[in-house]
Amino acid sequence: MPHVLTTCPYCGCGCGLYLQVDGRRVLGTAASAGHPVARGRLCAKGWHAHEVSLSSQRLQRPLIRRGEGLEEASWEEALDLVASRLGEITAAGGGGAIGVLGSPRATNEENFLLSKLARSCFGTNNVDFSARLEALPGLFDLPKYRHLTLSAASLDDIERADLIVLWQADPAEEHPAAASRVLRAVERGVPVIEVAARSGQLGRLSAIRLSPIPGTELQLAAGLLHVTLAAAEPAVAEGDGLAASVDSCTPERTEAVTGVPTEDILRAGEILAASARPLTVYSRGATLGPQGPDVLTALAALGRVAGGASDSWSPLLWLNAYCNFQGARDMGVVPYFLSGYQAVSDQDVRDTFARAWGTSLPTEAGLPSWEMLGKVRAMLVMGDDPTTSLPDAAAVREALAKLEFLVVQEAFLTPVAQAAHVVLPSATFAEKDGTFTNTERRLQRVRKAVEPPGEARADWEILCEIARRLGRPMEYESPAQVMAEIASLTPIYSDMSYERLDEGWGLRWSLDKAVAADQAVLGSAASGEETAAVEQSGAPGVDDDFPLVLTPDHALESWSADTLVVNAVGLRRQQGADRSPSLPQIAINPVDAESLDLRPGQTARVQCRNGQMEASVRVTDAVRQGVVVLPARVRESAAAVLQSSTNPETGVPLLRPRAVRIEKA
Amino acid sequence: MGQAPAYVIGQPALSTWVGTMLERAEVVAPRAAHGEDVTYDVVQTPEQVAWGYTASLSPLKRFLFPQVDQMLRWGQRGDEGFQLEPTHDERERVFLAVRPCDVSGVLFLDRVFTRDREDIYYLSRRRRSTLIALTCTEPGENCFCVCANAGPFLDAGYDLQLTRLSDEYLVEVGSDKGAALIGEADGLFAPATEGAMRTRRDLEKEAETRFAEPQAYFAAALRKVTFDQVPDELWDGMADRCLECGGCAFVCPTCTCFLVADSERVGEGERVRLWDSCLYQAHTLEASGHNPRAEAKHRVKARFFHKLSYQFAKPLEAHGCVGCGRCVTTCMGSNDMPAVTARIRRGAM
Repeated sequence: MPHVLTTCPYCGCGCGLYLQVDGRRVLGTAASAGHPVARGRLCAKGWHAHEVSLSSQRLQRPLIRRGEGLEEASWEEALDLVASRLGEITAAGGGGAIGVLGSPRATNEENFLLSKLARSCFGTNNVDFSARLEALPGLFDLPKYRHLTLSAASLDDIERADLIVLWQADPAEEHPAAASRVLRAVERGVPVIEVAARSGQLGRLSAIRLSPIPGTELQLAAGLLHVTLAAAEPAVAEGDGLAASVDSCTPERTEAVTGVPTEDILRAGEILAASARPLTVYSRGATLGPQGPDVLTALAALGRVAGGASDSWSPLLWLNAYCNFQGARDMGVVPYFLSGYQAVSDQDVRDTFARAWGTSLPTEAGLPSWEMLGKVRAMLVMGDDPTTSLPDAAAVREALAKLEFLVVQEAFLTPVAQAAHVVLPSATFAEKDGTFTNTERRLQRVRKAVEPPGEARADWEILCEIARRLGRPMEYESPAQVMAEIASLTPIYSDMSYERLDEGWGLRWSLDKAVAADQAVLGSAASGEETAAVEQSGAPGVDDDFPLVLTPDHALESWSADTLVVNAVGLRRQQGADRSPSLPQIAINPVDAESLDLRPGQTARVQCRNGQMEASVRVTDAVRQGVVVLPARVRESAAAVLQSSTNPETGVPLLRPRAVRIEKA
Repeated sequence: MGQAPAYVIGQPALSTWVGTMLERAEVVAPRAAHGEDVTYDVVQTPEQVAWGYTASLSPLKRFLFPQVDQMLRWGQRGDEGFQLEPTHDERERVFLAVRPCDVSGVLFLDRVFTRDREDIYYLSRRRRSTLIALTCTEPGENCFCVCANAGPFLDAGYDLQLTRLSDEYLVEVGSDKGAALIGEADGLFAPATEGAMRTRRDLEKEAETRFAEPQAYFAAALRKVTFDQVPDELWDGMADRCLECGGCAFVCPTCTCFLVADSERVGEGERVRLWDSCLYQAHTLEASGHNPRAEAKHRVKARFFHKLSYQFAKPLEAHGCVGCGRCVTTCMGSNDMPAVTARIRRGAM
């Protein structure tokens, strides 16, 4: 079978592509014309997807730490060591001593088995994936927020909308399949409003570009609500808490806080009010901000006010950042959910799983990834890298180094693998069967095109080997069998099977089922009025010593901090310095650059009150005066300036905008 | 067209013939992939050939100039010590039922890969390949081969050219290699009658009328691009609509840019060439760090200048386009060849 249809392993859009196989090697990638997401198109990453499989940097044999170094070992030795060490630590410290991380890039089947291993073999709910913090964790399980990170809208709704709002999202960099649909809408005259600290390529075609001072996005949303309410007919229903709370957010006041000109706010309000089918597209740029939850609440209100919400139209489209971000959550790689968002605290749910798995299940919710580190004694990490997904890389490294035992299943020697006691070489998407679930909840097949290199194995096979050695065998002949078990235990996946998925181009799971699960499991207590703390700005205070606002740029991370980009040789070499900088890079407005006497390519020192870093300078009018943008995870040094703090509402760590000064290094 | 010999072959004999070719060569033909997708692919049985297809996802380029092409490898070879070995693909291949635009694409590649020097990797495959064209009587949705003089029927360049008549295929011979293939297939072919030839000529005329108005304004675009009469804002506008995916170059039958990369593990390694695209930012990045086309608009301009003017004027005497229409499907924005030539002609987006 020389052309094998599979699903792209990069972002959450989930384009269908063919891998062209010649003998035992993948030779290339072709777009599928019939695929509903790809429609015959792929982005640069998709066109290079085969390079991940071909990379000479692939791990081919298990590695065991001996002294300071990692040395090659046999599978028998490595697996025996993993089982005995994890077994000992569980016996001594209980399930709470173990932490387990899954991956937004592993298949559903693998994430499901990881959750099963954690809960049934180690007796712990400490199971998570570190990028989950991009989806409002802790809040998204409440019905009133669920819709914010489980899109009812689809990618094709971008072309059905009569107004597109790009809210802290840069699809041209991060979700090109979505950007392609925006371009088609623009050709038909659909207006775009861009809200971003760094204007992206689509900003050049936007009707209005709004560039609020970083940290004041909520105030801008409130200001837009205010003017849209004033312009919209009919008036919004009573009881819309947030809409009622923006009385004081006049355009003039909004300008004073956000720096966005009054006239732009008024024009945006007119366009919003005139729209019948507005669609706000957002990604982790919005959720990872200091006011993430409140901003999303405000955007939901804005969609309603602009006349968007109805039975047939959902005004919000969430674009997640990884091929199976959705699926990892669906599969219960969450400390308080089993698969299908079924709460671990629910006795009936636990009983059902316990019967199927022939074991009892832990009752207490586990720790999220950012709390596991420092609290558990040993970790099993399958394809995750907390050093790039959690904000404070240095702290993560320190915590990893203190673990008594760390086992990492990986295709490449990532930072977390370098810290491991045992590294188990795993297959990439091209070398295994399974499914990914995209950002629209579309479940799609991943098909094996070639054998893994060397002795590498698929993650699901590795997990079964570990379970067998721990005395709790998980026996499956194929991922199709795992999917059958998933379907039997997971109401939202109950009608999924490989037969059905192979017939067409994949299937979207029904949101109605998730909402039903919400009501049954979590009750409807949380469905009251939505409000947001509009008064409190998240912008840092600037002064003469630290006159500029530095903010992280999450969209560019999809290039600079992605293992699958770094290890795709052609893809990496063909991109320019903006996408694969050798140094951390800051983007600064030409006027600021002039006054600081900084030229493109020069190295600058970025200082905040208690930290500093060096970065090369990119001069661009895509950022406003007074603002500096930094891809947050380019290097660990970024954390020195963009210090990690915690969102008080969610307990989730994040990088806040900070006041800095910049000078020539 | 001279009076080359022509034959007819019936449906059952066609299968027998494909079967005999399968015995002695790798046969690459249109093949159903998934859903409605069809692409040129290796077939194992005559039944796998999708004779009624409209277009293949990819051109034949994938087989003659693969996306990842190993050029040489090295490593320890036992007692022989460290060895450096060039690698060539020496498989015999028959490309069967290939659309005329894609045959034209191969003829274009032939010129590119022999112009300055002989590209041994390409020619090693090309010299062992047989091209059997299948004419088009019904244009696909995005087809404009008539504008590129690359179809829907060919006058030359193929080894054999098939045309579907009512219940049999007309087979035109275009080369000695093609004649030999007919000769080997004893008794499967009958000489074509004058009536069959007349039907073929009628089909060609009819097919050409099925293409609506001109879709690609090459002549006007050639003039304006050559004499730098395209307003700068146009290149800006097109750059805004380019997401730099590289897809247009990858699906183009005539694009040939590549980069060379070594990949090495302990004790062994390989040198490969990989498809590149002129729209990628680092395409013209120089060793000094300077990039003469750092801005997207300069890259878009260079791409279309090269295809519309440079290749036509001097080295290849043809536009870098065969009108297959794949860029129309694959462009994430709207910078496909028909759209770009139309914009250039009218001087506005």
